[in-house]
Amino acid sequence: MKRKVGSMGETVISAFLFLLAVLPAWGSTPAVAADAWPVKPVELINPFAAGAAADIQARKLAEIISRDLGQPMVVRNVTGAGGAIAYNEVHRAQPDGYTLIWYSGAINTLAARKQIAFDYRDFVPIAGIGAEPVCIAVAKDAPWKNIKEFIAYVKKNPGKVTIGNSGMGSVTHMVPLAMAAKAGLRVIHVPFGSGIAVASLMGGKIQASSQHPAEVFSQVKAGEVRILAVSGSKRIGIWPDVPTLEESGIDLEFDQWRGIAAPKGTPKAVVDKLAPLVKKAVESKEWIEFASSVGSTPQYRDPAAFGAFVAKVDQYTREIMGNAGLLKK
Amino acid sequence: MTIRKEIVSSTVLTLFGLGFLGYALKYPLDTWACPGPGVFPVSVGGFLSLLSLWQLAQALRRRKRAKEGEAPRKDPVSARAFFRENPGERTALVLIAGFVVYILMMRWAGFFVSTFLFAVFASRLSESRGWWGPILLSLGIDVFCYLLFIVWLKLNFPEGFLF
Amino acid sequence: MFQSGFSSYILVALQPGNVLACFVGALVGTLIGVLPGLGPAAAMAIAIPLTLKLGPTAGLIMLAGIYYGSMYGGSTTSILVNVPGEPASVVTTLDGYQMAKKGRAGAALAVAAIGSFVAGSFSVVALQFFAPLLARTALAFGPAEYFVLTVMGIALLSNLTGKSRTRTLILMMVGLMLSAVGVDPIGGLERFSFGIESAQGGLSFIAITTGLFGIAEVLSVLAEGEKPMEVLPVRFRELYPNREEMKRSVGPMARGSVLGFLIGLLPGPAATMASFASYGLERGISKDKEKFGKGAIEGVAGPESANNAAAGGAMIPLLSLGLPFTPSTAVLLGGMLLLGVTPGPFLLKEHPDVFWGVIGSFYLGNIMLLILNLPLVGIFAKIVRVSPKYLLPVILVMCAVGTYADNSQLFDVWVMLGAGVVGYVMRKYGYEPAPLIVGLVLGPVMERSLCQMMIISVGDLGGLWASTLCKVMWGIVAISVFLPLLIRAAKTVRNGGGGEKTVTIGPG
Repeated sequence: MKRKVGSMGETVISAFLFLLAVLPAWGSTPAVAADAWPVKPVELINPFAAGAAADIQARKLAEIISRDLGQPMVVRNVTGAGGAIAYNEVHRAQPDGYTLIWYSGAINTLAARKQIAFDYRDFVPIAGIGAEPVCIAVAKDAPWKNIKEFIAYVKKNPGKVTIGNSGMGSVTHMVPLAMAAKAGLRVIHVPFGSGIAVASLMGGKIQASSQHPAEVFSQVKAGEVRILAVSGSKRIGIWPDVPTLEESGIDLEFDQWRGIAAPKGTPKAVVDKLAPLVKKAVESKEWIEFASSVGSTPQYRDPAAFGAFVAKVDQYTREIMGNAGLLKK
Repeated sequence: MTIRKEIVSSTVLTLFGLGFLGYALKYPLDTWACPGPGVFPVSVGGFLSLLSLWQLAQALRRRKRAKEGEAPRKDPVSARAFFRENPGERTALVLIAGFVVYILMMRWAGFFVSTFLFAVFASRLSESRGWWGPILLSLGIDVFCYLLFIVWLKLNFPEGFLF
Repeated sequence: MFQSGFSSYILVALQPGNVLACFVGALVGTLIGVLPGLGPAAAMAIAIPLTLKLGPTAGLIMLAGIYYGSMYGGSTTSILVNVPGEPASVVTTLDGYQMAKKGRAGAALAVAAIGSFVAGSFSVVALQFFAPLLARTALAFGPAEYFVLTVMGIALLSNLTGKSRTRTLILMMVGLMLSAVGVDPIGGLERFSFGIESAQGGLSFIAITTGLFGIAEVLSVLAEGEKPMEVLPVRFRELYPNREEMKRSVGPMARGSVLGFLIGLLPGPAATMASFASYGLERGISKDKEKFGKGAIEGVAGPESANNAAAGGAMIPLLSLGLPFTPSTAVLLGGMLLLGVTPGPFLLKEHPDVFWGVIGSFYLGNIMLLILNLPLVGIFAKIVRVSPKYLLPVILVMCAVGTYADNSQLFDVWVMLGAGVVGYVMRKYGYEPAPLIVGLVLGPVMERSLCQMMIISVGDLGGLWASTLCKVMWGIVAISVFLPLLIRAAKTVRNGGGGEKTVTIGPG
């Protein structure tokens, strides 16, 4: 490339062209009337990585909802910082109904640990979709037949047994934390990502792992991993033989809940239009089959009930974390 | 690669390492049984500082040895004179500035408008004469991006007042 | 158990709809690979809604096509314009671009395509016959082993560029430091984010790679006023590798295939690590180390085979255990579950059509990609002669768009620009940025596995060499550190202590 001195003038002209074209644009933001919602694709921001259990549910549900919405509902993964980045982005977004969040227990744990500067009150609940328990998984050749034997073993060996989870402060961490508090156990919590925790469990590097069913069900089916207990209020469809923690004598019920929410200030018309569509999708045979197959229990909650539910879980989460010394002052 | 460059870069790297180390020290180190978030940054920061100090020492030793034969060093030149002598560096700076404007602009002018303008700007900068070439090229880039990302992959790009 | 469907799978893959899905997937993958920024994992996630409409077999074939197609495409821009299309092709810039400068762009492109084909085919065969066995092996790795593996990686790659070992190590450290930005992997404390929300998630690996290579390259070309390469007009036959080049590539391709495949079994950014490891290996065993970095065809053939083999190797934990170890295979897993298919040992029993369809499509896709890529070599090779006035704006915009599209964060584009400016300055001061990428890739694995290991062993550092595997790897680290020192000492003694020339530590 030949350089010629004196091209500065042209460069300045080019730069000027930039400004000239954009100056009139100051301050003009597109305003979309809410009654016509939606007139363009709706984005469902997903704080979980593509391929994760939460992600595939979001994608499946979005696909079903899109059929009746008139516009596609597009799932976009915004990962990082345990979901904080996604929540920040939606919190900051225009409350016009075009940016929604794939809502879950992360709002409770992130807010409790002050990783985001707001909490559930800054979001408008649209619909609750269901819940999935956390399960306590052990390798196939582990000596414990059930959760009682496991707990007895941990009691005899305080501070020696390792339990993996999918990240400090995550819902999968809350369950063993609360379990340890209730049963008076001392265990070592090892934070992992999902896939690696199961691999480490199968490779005998950790003794137990606390996972969502979707992360282990194919290994369970293959007989590589056994489930000692699930944390929900009821047993789940894919594992009818696995007892809940409560049945096993531990007074603990803690699910990962899922739903859809929008940033505060989103018009009521949007909620009113979307909530029935979510209801229809969640109650469809297709969804019930799909959700059950990955270990989730579908349960629709209307906006008001959903809001109250999230508030209740928020308080409970702070309680568990407070007891474990995980709350930041 | 002159010894002078080696000394300058080693010094900068040492300072960077020490700064990083100092900043990382404010993060808790916690215990052996549960290493805190400070452990890793402090270790790598410390290691970098040592490595660059070592490189600096080597370079200084080499300069001492080579001093007799070395031509007298040029005095530091003023920025203006430097850019007059190196028009290429100036172009690079202008491009960086243009890039900053481009990213800032994306939020309110929208992706496609900004990209079009930036592409025109960049191709003018890289010695295109006339306006039709750059404009056609930039339009082509925009259409390609639109087809690939918006029509086919349904991605969302920043929108402005036009798109 | 894997051989029973051997004859039927080709038939599944050869159904017209599936062939089309395979072709579209491979084509899109190549395109994504060529584009700087946007990586295979993000591209596959974006394409999932499209594949859902196709049904399980065709849908998965298309996703898989994108997956391995992107490994083919990544090398093209590395060779032609010194801008890697994927992080896994960073190391290809070292010699690929030098070959292009010498007028051997066509040979480099062809060797990359052939190497990818060889490695891709090798990994499918290995996948087909040894999957369950190899999957077990991968389970021997736990946090302690991963940590030692990263240390081994750094030790073995410390002579990556063949210049000063100190300098290479310095850049790796800088990479490790950059990887520490963002919320820490264990406790969730925000580090080095300086109040920037988007920085909480860390600096995007793709943004830094694109900036350090793509943007920095454009800035250098502008600043130095480099002329478009004056490539002598070559006849058609000379576009392709000559006999000698092919002969020199056979070894690297074979070694790269095996090495890449094994690295692919492990968690982390396997394809990127595999390409670096292969380059390190080829340089290490070469009798003529001097030619590396100056257009050695071995430096293209090895890494480009390795990253494709790694992509195949990463399928093993997924298909036989249902465990996704890399971001790309995690997306594949998601796609499978959405399509109603559960990977794992039961896949073959429950969905033989899907299983064989995917395996068959690997064979078919590799052949397609070779057919697609070889004729393109001639066209691509001409790109090096295109005037920068057309190339530069296109590269710049594609870098920006690709980086943005990967995670839809404008912050990533800022990171890319910053990395570009730093990369430009680094080049001026004689720092080759490739080792920085090694640090950046290894950093998160290193920190996380170290902390996990310490937590599991309750603060006992002995956990780092508890297993035999760890001991073996530490042994390799020790050899790689002390052997060069011993050799140098021996040489110094023989030459009568004339150590005047050893201004840097380590040999050449």
